[in-house]
Amino acid sequence: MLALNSLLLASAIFQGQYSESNQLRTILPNGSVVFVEKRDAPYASIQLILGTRGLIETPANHGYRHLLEHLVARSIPKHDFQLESQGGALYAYTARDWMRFEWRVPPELIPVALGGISKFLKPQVFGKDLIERESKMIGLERSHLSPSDRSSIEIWSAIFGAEGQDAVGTWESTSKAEPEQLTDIWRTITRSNNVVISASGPIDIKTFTDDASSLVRGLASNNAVRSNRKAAGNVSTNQAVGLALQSIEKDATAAMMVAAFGMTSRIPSPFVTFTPTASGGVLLLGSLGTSIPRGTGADESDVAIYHRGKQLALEWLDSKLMTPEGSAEFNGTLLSLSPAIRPRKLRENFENVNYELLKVAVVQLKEALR
Amino acid sequence: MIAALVILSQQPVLPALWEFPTEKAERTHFEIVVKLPRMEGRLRRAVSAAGHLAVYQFSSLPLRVGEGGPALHYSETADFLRFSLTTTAQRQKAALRTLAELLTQPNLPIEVELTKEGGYRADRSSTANNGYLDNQQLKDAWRFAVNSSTVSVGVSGQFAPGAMETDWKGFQFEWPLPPNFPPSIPASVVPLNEVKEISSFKLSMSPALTTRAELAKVLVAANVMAGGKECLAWRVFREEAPLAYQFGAKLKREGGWWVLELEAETKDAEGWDVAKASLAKHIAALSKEDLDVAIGNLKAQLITGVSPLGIEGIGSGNIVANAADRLYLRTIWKATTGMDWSEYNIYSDARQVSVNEIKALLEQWLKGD
Repeated sequence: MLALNSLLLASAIFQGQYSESNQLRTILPNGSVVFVEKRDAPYASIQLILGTRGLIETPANHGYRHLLEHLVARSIPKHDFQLESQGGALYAYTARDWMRFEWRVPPELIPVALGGISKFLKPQVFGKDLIERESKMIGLERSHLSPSDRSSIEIWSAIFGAEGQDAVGTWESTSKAEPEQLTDIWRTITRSNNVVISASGPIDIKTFTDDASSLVRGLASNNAVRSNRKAAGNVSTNQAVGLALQSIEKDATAAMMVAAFGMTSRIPSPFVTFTPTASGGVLLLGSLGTSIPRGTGADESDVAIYHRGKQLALEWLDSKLMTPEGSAEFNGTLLSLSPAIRPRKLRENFENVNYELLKVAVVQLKEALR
Repeated sequence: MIAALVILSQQPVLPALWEFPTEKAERTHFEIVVKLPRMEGRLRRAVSAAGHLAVYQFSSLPLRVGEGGPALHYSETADFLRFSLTTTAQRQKAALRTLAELLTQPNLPIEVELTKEGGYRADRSSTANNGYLDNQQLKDAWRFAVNSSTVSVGVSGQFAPGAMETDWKGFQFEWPLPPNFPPSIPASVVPLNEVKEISSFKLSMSPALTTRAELAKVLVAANVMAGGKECLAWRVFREEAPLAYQFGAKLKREGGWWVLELEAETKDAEGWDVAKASLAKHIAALSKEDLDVAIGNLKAQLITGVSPLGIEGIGSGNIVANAADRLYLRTIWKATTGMDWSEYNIYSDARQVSVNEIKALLEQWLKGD
């Protein structure tokens, strides 16, 4: 044993320096996760990501989490003033599988961000007047959705029915929310197994991990697991085709993404929309033009699709991780789906997509486009 | 002596390229602005159609320069065409070359159909139209609008000073000189109608902008009005009299003037007058705190690289909320005034602005001019 230790020490001395990893993922006993990445940047992105385990979303509570996002984001008096007067900002976003609050701040405001997270994780109560006001905003927000967002909503609903309903909500649904219902939903999504704190920027890894862990260590779990959405099949509209996907870490999902990216060269003004999910998701391939051309003429043995698709898929992954906010979001939302899903695994999956797997995916896409 | 003159006259005439090297930038941004000569009617429509279709037909562009998605954004105002491209340091040379190729050798369609609604189509598919433009007319219009004297290129990112300029000069593209006369495309003014489900309200004013300090003051005013969640527009449109989910402040160049604009989009057309009255009250009661938060937001945009909400609300050309828009403004500013500014000296000027100065500017903005 002593000999082995000596060998390791000799090896360390021989290498001349000891370099610390720039990332640390900590899974707490109660299921909460803290992820920190240290990188050189003028600002840090600190994100609180709240999953949906244990929450049943139906047409009756359509958009309630989104409503909560609006309400909670403005719930701390003078918080925005404190951030914005010193060059920071608070953002919030709600998706089907998570809600995300982001503090994008100069490093000296990291404690303010952690203070915000601490307050957000407490029980929340909102009056009817605020619910009414923000419901109106949600109605207006819905009217501003882009054509690709509308297309996505249409396709998700067609594939998954009520389980695929959008997270935006409508004025009609959210204005009916009762304060107690919102308090209950907030309690569910702030259970420990739904909470991830993810950060990237000029951050001391150990200090941040300790501070963030202390905010979530006392949270109780609801022991709920994520249920799988059931897909009715693939769907095609005028502007896009939607393909039901398996979990993000599956090989078939990687192959489908490579195929979709590869096929973009056959479509005018193309877009590919993909939301990482661990419980059944959708990949959308569409055109921002008037309609998506039917029968793209793509041949599944076309090597160009293979190379182009692989290159674009890897670039997509890189682009997600390029900025502090992108990295904190991508790492955090993947961890929210499952602590086992890491960007590194997705990269391997893209790199390992072989020609046979891709052919199957291209045939599926061509079928959907027919 | 004669030989030297001959060599000089053979030097290609290149459009201006301005470098704005930025430390720690993770991306390289290109902003190409084309200052449009005065034109109207079908000629203007021909330029617009050529611009859109040239970009559209460059379908392989994302692959050559991008990040896995559409990397080139095209937009236009009455005064400018704008090509905005973001890429990585590794691809910046390829991106610059591609942009130069797009501008000098656009792949224009054989024919464009002008629709009755003021748009265009690349095929003969509508039953009622406003005539056609052939390939030569499109080429002539493009040359009239896009030539060595109308194009300016701004580039920011991590590169050695002079590196981009060397690349730019090294490309063997032939930039057309400005033609003496506009092409003979028959004039027929057709209104460009936009069909919108959502109403849009605008408050516009034309600030006098001749110095960097005046620019800084306008940027502070824009942030007081529409930067972040403590600005006047957020308080009024989102909280007191909920009216507009989306709003934004813009500074743009139009008809030879600088125009400062607040735009709010809503599906509730009523309520605008109430909102305006509410804005007037807030302006009258403007405080040092309002100014502090606006200057903090400006710092976020210029120095920290954070884009607060609101200021990036609507459309393109949104002041300085992201690196591309900042470069766009900087490029237009230099193209029109001949002066330069940097993030740090604008921020420094902004900190000298007083509450009363901003109040006067906002009052004028609310009234319009």
